[in-house]
Amino acid sequence: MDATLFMDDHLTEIAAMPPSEVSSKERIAALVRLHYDFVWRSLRRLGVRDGDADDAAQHVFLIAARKVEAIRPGCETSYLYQTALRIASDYRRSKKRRTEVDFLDQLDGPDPSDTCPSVDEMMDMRRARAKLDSILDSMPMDLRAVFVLHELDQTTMADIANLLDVPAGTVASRLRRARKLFVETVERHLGSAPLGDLLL
Amino acid sequence: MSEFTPLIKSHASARVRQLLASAELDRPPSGGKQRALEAVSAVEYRPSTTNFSGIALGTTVHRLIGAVTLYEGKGGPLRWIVRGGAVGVAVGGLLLATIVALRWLEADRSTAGTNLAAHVHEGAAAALTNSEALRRAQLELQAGRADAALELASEVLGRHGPSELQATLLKVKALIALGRVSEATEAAQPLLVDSSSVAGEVRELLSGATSGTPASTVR
Repeated sequence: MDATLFMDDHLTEIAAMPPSEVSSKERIAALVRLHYDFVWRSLRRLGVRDGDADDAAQHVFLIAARKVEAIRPGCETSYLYQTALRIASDYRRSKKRRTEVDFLDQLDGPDPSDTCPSVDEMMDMRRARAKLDSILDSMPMDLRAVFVLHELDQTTMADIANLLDVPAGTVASRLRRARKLFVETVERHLGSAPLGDLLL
Repeated sequence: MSEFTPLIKSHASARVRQLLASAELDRPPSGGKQRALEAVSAVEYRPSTTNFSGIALGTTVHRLIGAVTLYEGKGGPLRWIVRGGAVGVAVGGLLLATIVALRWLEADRSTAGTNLAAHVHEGAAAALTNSEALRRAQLELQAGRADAALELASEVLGRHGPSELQATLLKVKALIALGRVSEATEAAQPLLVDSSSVAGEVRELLSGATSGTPASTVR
């Protein structure tokens, strides 16, 4: 059996154990190992900037650590995601958003350790990423959450409904609206901003 | 393709697909997971119960102490005087509340029985309507408690309402039952002015009382 898969299965088992069978410390550690990347990516895609996402992810797990005994076995991902959503919402409300021009000014250039074959392609990707942030920032948080989970994380509608603890119909409705808003905003941005020329 | 095929695969515009594909750049920094593990390992794990009443009590005590210590000098006796005073007030208040509660319970128990005399004595008839008071007076008389019936009837009479005649009749009956025939005769005068059935009944009662008919037969 693949060692990574075995480890993941083992961690999943520990993470889903009730408080009577595993210590809080072990359980939260398993949650961090299993879900850190997912939480970090979710925060990033919900609007937390690169430099702040690490702290925000730690914050999510610290909150989970304080309430770990109350997290129902099997609902860990949902709990973590909803916590991340709350933190991202607070972040959005409190932090001044950088403009896409400011963000691009801070780009240093391609990461030498990156495996992307072309430097120009890398720069294009980074600019596109900045543009994506700017477009998603204009979306209400409830639509954004469904949109990024489905379009960027490739999460199924049923799983999104579980994560957000909303009915499947609500997920479908939000996704339709989010898509419409996304495409309209893309067309508006690409039609006017000079950065539009950089994207094909 | 279904309606919900991801846009990155389904959208006609390459621009849209490229925008979405840029999210591939989202990778956590190296060491992030380790830092998170270190952070959660430093948390003190306690049972997740919340003692709300304890928190409220603790907060109140803390505030009281804070208020008291506003006046403390540097190690002076004033601190002890003020604190002692605050404790004294608190203890005194508690004692007072306990005494009041016990007295109230005592009073409540003593009036819990079927004897309505205590209620009547305390003016409880004032809380009753005339008809309720007269009904109770009738019951008291039937139960052999003529004094209670008299009190209730007198209370109603004092209000000078439409139930005056009925109250007078009950008062007469109660007085006869108590053996106070002369008072009964005097009280009955307003009822003897005509030849109604009530007047006849009263005359009969007074006649019986005067001739020595036992009070227990009065109903």
